[in-house]
Amino acid sequence: MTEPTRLRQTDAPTRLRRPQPLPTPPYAELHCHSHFSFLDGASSAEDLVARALELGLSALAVTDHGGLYGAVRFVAAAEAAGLHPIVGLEVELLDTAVADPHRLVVPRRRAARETAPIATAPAPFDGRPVRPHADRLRLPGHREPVREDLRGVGDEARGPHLVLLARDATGYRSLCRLVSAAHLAGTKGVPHYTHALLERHREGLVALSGCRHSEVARRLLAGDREGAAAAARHHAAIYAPVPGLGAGVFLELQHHLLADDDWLAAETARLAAELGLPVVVTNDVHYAGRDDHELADVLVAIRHGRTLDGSAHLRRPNAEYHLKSAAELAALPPTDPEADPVLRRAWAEGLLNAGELGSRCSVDLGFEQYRFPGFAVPPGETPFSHLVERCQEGSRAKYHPITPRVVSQLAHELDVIERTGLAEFFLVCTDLMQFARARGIPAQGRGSAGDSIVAYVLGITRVDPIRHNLLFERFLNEGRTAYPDIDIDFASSRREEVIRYVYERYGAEHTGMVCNVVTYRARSAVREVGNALGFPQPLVDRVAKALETYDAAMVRRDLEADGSFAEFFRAPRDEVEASAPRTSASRTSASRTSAPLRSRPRPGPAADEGGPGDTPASIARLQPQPPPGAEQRATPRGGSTASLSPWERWLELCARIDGFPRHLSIHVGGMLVTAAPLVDIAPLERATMPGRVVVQYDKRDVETLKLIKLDLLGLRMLSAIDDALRAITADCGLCIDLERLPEDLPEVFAMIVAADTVGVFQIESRAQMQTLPKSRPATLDDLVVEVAIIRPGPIQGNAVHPYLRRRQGIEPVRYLHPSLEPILRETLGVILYQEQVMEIAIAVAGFTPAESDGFRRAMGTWRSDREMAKLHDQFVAGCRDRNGLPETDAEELYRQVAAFASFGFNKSHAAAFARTAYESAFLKLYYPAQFLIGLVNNQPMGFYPVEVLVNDAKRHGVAVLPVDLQRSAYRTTTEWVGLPGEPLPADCGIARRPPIVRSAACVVPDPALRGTALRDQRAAESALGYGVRLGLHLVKGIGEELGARLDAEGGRGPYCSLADVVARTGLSAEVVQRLIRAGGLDSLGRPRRELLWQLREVAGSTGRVRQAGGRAKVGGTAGVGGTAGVGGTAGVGGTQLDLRLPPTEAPELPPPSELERLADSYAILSLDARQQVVELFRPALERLGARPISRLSEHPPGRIRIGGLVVTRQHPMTAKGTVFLALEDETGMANVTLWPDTWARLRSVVRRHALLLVEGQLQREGAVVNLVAQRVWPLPDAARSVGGPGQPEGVRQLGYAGTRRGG
Amino acid sequence: MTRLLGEHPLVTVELDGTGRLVAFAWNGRREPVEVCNRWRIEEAWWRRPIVRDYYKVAGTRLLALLYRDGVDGTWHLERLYD
Repeated sequence: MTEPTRLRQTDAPTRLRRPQPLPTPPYAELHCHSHFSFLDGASSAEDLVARALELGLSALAVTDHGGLYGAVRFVAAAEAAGLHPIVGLEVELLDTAVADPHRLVVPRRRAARETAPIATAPAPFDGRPVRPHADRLRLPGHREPVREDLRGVGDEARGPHLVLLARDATGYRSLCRLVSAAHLAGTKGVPHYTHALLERHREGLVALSGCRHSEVARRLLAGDREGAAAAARHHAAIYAPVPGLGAGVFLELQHHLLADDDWLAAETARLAAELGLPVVVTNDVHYAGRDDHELADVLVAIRHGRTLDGSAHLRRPNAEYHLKSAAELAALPPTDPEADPVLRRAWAEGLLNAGELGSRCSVDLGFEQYRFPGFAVPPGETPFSHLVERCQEGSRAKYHPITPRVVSQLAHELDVIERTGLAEFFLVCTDLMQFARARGIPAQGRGSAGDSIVAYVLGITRVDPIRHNLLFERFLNEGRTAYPDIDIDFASSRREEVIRYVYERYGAEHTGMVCNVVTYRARSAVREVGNALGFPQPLVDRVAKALETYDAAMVRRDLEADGSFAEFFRAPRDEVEASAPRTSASRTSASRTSAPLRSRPRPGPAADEGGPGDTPASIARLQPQPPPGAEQRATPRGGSTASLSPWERWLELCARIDGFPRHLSIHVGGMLVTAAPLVDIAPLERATMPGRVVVQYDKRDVETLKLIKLDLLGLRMLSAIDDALRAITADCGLCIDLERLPEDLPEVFAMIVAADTVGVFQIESRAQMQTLPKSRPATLDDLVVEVAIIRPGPIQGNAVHPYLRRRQGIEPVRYLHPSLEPILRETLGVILYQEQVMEIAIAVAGFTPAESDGFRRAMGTWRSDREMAKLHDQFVAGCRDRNGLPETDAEELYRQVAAFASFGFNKSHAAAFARTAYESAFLKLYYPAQFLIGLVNNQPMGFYPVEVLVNDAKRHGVAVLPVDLQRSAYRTTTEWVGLPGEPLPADCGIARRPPIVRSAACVVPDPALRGTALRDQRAAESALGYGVRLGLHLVKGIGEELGARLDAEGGRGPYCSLADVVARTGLSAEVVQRLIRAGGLDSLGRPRRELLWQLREVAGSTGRVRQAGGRAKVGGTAGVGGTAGVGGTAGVGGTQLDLRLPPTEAPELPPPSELERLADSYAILSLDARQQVVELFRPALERLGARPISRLSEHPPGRIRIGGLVVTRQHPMTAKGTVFLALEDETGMANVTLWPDTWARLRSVVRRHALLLVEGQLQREGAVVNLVAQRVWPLPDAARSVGGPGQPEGVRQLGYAGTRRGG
Repeated sequence: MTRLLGEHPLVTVELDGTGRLVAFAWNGRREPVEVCNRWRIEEAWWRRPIVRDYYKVAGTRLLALLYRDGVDGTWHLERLYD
């Protein structure tokens, strides 16, 4: 022992302070998990790459669990940052390399929690009961094909790990095939990796023995040295040696400062020496920096469904699993002078080997050559010649006559298509459209494809690029590196047919759905982090429900604004700690805590940019558009949370988990179609939907890989229009061809200008309604502008007001330079479309079309300063030299273009949507009943809930008939009620036809025009005789399956009694109860309360009624004896026995009041066919001095009161804290604005009450009225004070759109 | 048999020139020791953070478990093995 030199108390431990004389060779970390290891990695690929560069690593491998989910993002991030990426994964094997009879590798685990049902237990033997041993009846190795509940099962009790790295493209293909085979053999989320599979897919791969949960390490730890050697030899036999490195398997040496790490590393090193296998040093990285271990611990707790305190044995024991530099690794105990010499040597060798192996693994993820599936063309044709022929056919059908411009444009586009080799792509899309057309599936292309005349003549899009003067280069040009996309909208109800067709057409092995990564957002983060931190469930619920934001990074800001959590923000650390997480450990620690409360870490000067309560993450969000892919990272890097109060820690961890992947789902429409078998290009896995396979890559990844992706989207409006057209054909005997609909019907535009657009595609939102009377669209082109301009981007970029002012003639139209006039004329000098940005670059600054596309993209997505400066110089010089613009004007033009390009909208997309908007407006005007059923049957869609759509139709004179089991089908249908003026059928369910509300915002066709020859062709008079019968689908609990049964049963004849209903339909007591309360059984002729009384007996006597468990979810008032009702008691005792007792007479029960009836109707259907709920309050509202909403337009500006139901509440990010309400009464809808200070004051009232009385200042701007709220009361409370009705219990706020990320 | 010390008393330690633990002193008695094993734990950061480097040491008269508290840098005796 050396002579002691000094006696101290505070020296650092040996291993951390020893000076490091060792040189640092290039080192690559080969075993690293990103957050795509789903709840087992606490850093994103970007963070890992950034940290690896800081540490000077030569390469980094990402080896996520079981899949390649993050591979593409990681490779892209690494390549962008200049780090050498390695693709790999860590598998958990189901079997062992060497027989394991003593369960040394995988200890026996308790059986899954679900025990076998009693019925399957073996029959008693010899009169004695036998304990069921279900697993003994199965073959060895059998695993149930269900997702096992692995919560609480630590890594040590699961299968052995093995790390695989791709050495080259062959290796990547093997990884894809291996992952796909394992996932397809298993079930969703449970891949079945076996050694047999490893042997089948081994080419181009190199294996690392894995962490302490590898078979080799586990056997060594269990004392089975022979077994460990055999396992290592087995793996070595599978993988071909890496030239120059001796073997295809490397034993991993790791050291995380655990008690047995010295021993395990030394044993592994000796084993490697004995077997002649090389070693590598890795660190089994699970997060980028040391402080990230806190989030990693939280993720472990979440993964196991436990709290941090309850998951001690499942967590890693310390924070050593972060990325380390070669120097840090070289300073670990294996290099101590007194360490085992074999280990010392091996450790040094392992560090060198890691760097060397890292440099040998290289995968190029460019798959351009595989992108086309191969489209069969007639013999003697090439895809291009076939395309030309199809285009010629198409142009003859679309253009009469074919003008020179059409011919030249077509020739130009075909030329570009030939040179970019995209002919097949167009043929594939045409083929899909043909299929849709043949099946009668409504379909239309959207997006930039509309810029192409080829797409138009092939029938892919409906927008004529010549007519709308569109720019083809926006869609496709030779300089474009990214792949052009054609998005096709199909009627959402029939999209599945198209998807199935693609599978059949190109084969299942070449086709897959793109996945969608579901990430943490505000509520999920608050709930899961809160539970992991051990906060009481009621508090977690309260916080989650109080959130307005969707952004986990904004949680803190949101809660501070809420006000009701002020006590937590104020509470000193000890107080919150003692009160919040209820664990014994925290209580003891709270009493021992002595560290002073340190303030939350805040970034320096940037803190001023946010409001009180901002986290670094929320500030990052608030700051002007953070350049994607640029230096700045949005993820907060706030260090340890140990010094924060539990409350602050919760919010901070929520911000850090923001955007972490949680699991995969299917992308809405992305289909990948490839030439090479898909399993060679991308890993596949099972989706939750039976038989459906998804690619482990998402939309962004597929674009990075430059693969062909077809976006087959479902557009519910197409389904709604289709349903409406079918109803018109059935009701009026009229086939309307919307393709031939004139695009200049003045009445349709009159309706649009009056902002009477509830239900109309794209122009129905609150913001649209506020601008339509100002912009006064009179042509389809104006409508295109309208669709494009009311979006977050232009609103934020202040493009809206100049346009509206110029449109109204308030300010003159000015152009910076005459050369801009032809480009910007249609938008009155405002730059609005992406096509315009490109045209300016071409015509004014002299860019080539390809350059202009690059310019547009660079402007839209921020590039590096150097690149932007280069583009700026080119643009300004071009303007000056080519058009003689003065330097200042050129600079100004650049500034304008740059400002608008970030939100510029694709004109062709707007044109496609504007056409659909126009068609839906036409249907709403002339066929309101048929249009309404289309909308109602295709919910959820659009901006408004069904209640608003129904009441809007009623205000337009459509008779809406209540739900009635005798008359309603499952879906909402039209029903003949007689022409206006004729009496309604006696038993239709309503007493009178709703009167047409006379107001500026309610446009109905002029009756004088009906009946004229012109109108007859489009607006059949008989359409006015149809009302709408609400369908049974509106009743909660009646789904499609049940609906089909009810439709079939209804067809067999009317029901004669409640017993008949119950016996024939087999509905659960709960659903029957809802039907009664919603008035759906009124036609049986008995009072509702008597029916409810009967229901219990009927339910018991028929024996067919399924007893619904639990309590009724729908609250209400009309149940017998209060709210308990039948549903409330049904679940208690299971099925009643039929005692064949005579039915008891119902006692005299008072009929429900109108308030109770309405409350029930709103509780169950979220609407009432007979009455809008505010109508009930009208006398009280008059006493309170409130005006009907339809009268607002006549009211002079000034103070006013209105009462109404909150139908939407919006908190748009673009509005800087302002909240907008749409308030509806029986006469119409009003826009209510709450400025941020008013919202802060009234938030609790406005959030919690559906019916409000609002007092405020009426503002008028032209025909647009707006109420700026100053005082708000709950309407029932206010009404009660003047003798009005009380609270209708079932009425809730109908719509809510929370704070979204900007842009 | 081991003795778990409830209060984890403070000890003073001696390190050699390379930073290796060579002796510790407790209750006024100095014990030259050799380190048999060592490990690190980091725990309970959400309550009162525990960061400790443990040393299992063997002296001439005793076996002991010491740790260095990573939060404040103090050394403690946790356990004595008889």
